[in-house]
Amino acid sequence: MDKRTVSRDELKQIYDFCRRKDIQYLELRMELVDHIASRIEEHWQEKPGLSFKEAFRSVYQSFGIFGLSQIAAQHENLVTKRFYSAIWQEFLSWIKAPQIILPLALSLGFFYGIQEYSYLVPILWVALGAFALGMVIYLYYFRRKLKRALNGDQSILMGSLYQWGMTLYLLYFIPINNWFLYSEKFGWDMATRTIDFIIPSFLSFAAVLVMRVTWKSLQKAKSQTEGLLLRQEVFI
Amino acid sequence: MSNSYIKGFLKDILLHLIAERGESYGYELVKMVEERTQGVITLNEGALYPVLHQLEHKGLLVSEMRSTGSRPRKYYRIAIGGEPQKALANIEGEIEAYLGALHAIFKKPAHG
Repeated sequence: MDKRTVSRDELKQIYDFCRRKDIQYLELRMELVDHIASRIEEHWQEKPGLSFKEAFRSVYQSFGIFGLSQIAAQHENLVTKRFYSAIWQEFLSWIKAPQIILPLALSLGFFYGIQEYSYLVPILWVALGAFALGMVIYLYYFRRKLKRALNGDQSILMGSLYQWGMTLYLLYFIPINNWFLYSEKFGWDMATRTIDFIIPSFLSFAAVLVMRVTWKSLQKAKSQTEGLLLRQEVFI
Repeated sequence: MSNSYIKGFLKDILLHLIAERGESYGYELVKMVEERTQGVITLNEGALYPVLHQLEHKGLLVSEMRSTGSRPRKYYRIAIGGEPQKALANIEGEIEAYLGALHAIFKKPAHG
């Protein structure tokens, strides 16, 4: 006798059930649908006469009352760590030899440039600010496009960008903030000691780092989302 | 058997089974544990997936979603690199040392 398998319509029922149970991350939902379907098929091997509903209920009960919500909550926690972890990894990759030469040269260049050619400071900060603003606008539209494609669902990379990326966009504006803080024109000429030059140089580097991570994450999120949407078609 | 016994070993069990198999997925891992231990140890799905995702997040596992039959399935395998291999190499020795220590605690004292 042929092994009874979960039909496409039954898969859709499991998929919709997981969505109702707040499993909003597509990769997690698909993984759980496969697990539940495999368990149901196992039940059918033992009791071939069991209806889909009975088998499904029994499998769901084996997860425990809070089983699915617990998995969803723990997944959410992991998502929140994802973006910071990406930033940390990026940071580590830049402080290793020989990559360290570039940020060091940039920071030293900034440091001496600010001191020696103070008239360049506003131009530099405005250029960085304009770049940051352009990047934020681009990322905003890029993210919105992906969000629409997901239609209310979420993917882990998009989720991490959504939760933390927007907050970190503020970091992009550190260079322009510095211009205000260190500009004589605004009467806040705070740069009187060496440390006042080192801090903005370092922060500007941090801002560029965050931009780079956000950019890379969005590129990854794009290919991940497209892949997930393609696989999700089975359930629609 | 109480799930609390297994909790501390769950990461090691999963890494070991995935390494041995080459690649595996959640349901298969649950079945493997059930079959090998003849039902003495059963993995709780509520604990299994968060641990798998955590191992992936830490870079010890990598995953790939593939379509098998009618549905997509997420396969895990050991990541390439020094750290995952080091973790795997440590598991066996650590488990053996731990089991030996437990045995030393619970063995019946000789009387007389």
